Amino acid sequence: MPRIFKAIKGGPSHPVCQDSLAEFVTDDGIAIGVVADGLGSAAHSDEASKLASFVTMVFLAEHLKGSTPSIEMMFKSLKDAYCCAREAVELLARVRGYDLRDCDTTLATAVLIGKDLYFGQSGDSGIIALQADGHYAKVTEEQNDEYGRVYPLSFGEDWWVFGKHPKPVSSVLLTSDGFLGFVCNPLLEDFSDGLYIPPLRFLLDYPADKLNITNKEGNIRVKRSIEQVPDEATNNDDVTVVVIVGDARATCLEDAYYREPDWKRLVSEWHRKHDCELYPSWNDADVTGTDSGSHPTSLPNENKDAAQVLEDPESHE
Amino acid sequence: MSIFGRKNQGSDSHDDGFFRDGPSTAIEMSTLNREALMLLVDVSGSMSGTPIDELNKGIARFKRDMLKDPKTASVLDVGIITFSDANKYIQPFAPVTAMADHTLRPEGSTEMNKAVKAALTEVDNQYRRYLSQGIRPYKPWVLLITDGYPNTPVDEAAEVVRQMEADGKLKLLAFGCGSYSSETLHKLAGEKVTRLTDYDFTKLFDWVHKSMRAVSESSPGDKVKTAVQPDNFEQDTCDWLND
Repeated sequence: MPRIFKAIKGGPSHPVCQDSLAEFVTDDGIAIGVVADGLGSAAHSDEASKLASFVTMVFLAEHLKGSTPSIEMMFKSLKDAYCCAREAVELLARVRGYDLRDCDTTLATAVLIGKDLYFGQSGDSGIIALQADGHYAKVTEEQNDEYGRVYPLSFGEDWWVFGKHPKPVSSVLLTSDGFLGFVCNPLLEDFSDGLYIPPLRFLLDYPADKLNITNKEGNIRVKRSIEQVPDEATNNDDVTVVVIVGDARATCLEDAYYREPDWKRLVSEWHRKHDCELYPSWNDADVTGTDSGSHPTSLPNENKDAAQVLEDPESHE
Repeated sequence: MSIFGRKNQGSDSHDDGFFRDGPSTAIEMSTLNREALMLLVDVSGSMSGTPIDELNKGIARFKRDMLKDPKTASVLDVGIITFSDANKYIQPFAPVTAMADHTLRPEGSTEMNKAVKAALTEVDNQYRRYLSQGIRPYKPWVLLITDGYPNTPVDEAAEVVRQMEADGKLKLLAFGCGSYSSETLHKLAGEKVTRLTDYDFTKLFDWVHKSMRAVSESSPGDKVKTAVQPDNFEQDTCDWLND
């Protein structure tokens, strides 16, 4: 039978925690996990996230119990659950007299049936899987625009994404964006599947003989883990973690996969690779390597006569 | 804490804990935060003499001080646009440690509206570059330093400032010296207008350094308390709006 462990830690940037979670395991072993993160600027997003996560979980628990759903049925159930969640939030706003824009929330959902992981995504919360082959994989992509503004649940079904992870799965992590950013740091883009493995392994990889811990022990383990993460590493945001541990155990990979990254080297390599995109003017300059990355030996605008004259902002980039 | 322990075939234990090397590694990971600071500087003819000399000294000292403050410097990118008849992007955004040396020379009149719009465009572009590379940006700052009256109205630029500030994508601070137009600066920066009572720009840039340090010690999105103001700052509370 799958197990679910979970924890929430409020972040210092919000007076009220805006994250919510919901989870359930049906009698026939279908595990459902939901995380919702109310948008920071929205006044009633904490209520909206609680409602959205709860309605989604209840809908799926009711519709999936006693069934062996096909892929099509799973996608339909997820979409219908999201429709219910959105309608519930709209009803909340009407009944309480709230502006609907003050009720924006993300919604990430995972359903684990055996080794099959189905998911739903709206916004910038996320899901990471420990595959049965031992690799960790980011299952969802964050939905936001070029300014980082999140596409919330209220944007509707044209933006929601539903899918089935292509590989057999052992365990699943659902989390809100603060912790997601912590374990998906861009410094790791070319290293260990792009993910910060040690904390993920601690949360997701349970050997078979150790699954006899109680739910309380499992929840405490998760809670104490996330409390060790400095607030600044999660952008001072609320942190919510739901862990679904399935029946399949994951293969153990080589030691190097689980090692703590060499952060100094990664920072240096990242700058070497990306500084020319961050500072386009360097593409015209001589560039030499330094310990901290590539800096040009001269900039094109040292001489004011060569400085770029800005005629009209609309015609500039 | 150890709920269970298991050693795999390697030397690492599964139950070494959440952090192998302690939380400090997580802090090191946050070096991808960036702050964009745009200096928008009046180099019109009226800035000749003491004002431009002191401004050059102030900028040079700012760079030197930043080189001695690696923690703040590690998050700070600086751009410089000068304006007179034409606007010149003399320092495209670059890490403050890679700032070129500049000698500002005064000439011409004060075409401010286009300069402000150009600065906002560059700041917006840099902000989007940060996000596209997975960087967490702090709210960009634009510091406008001027002693004069603009040739043309700044209403267009003021509207863009208003929109960007409302979207949380900008903080524009205006510093007026000499006989500047208080009305113009208030249109652009609202209440964030400071009168400099003398031309000691090193005090201004010292304040900028300390404020940037406060930003670097925060997380993106936090409200940051700026540094204590030096003695040549005077809040410009001109009530021209009520004339």
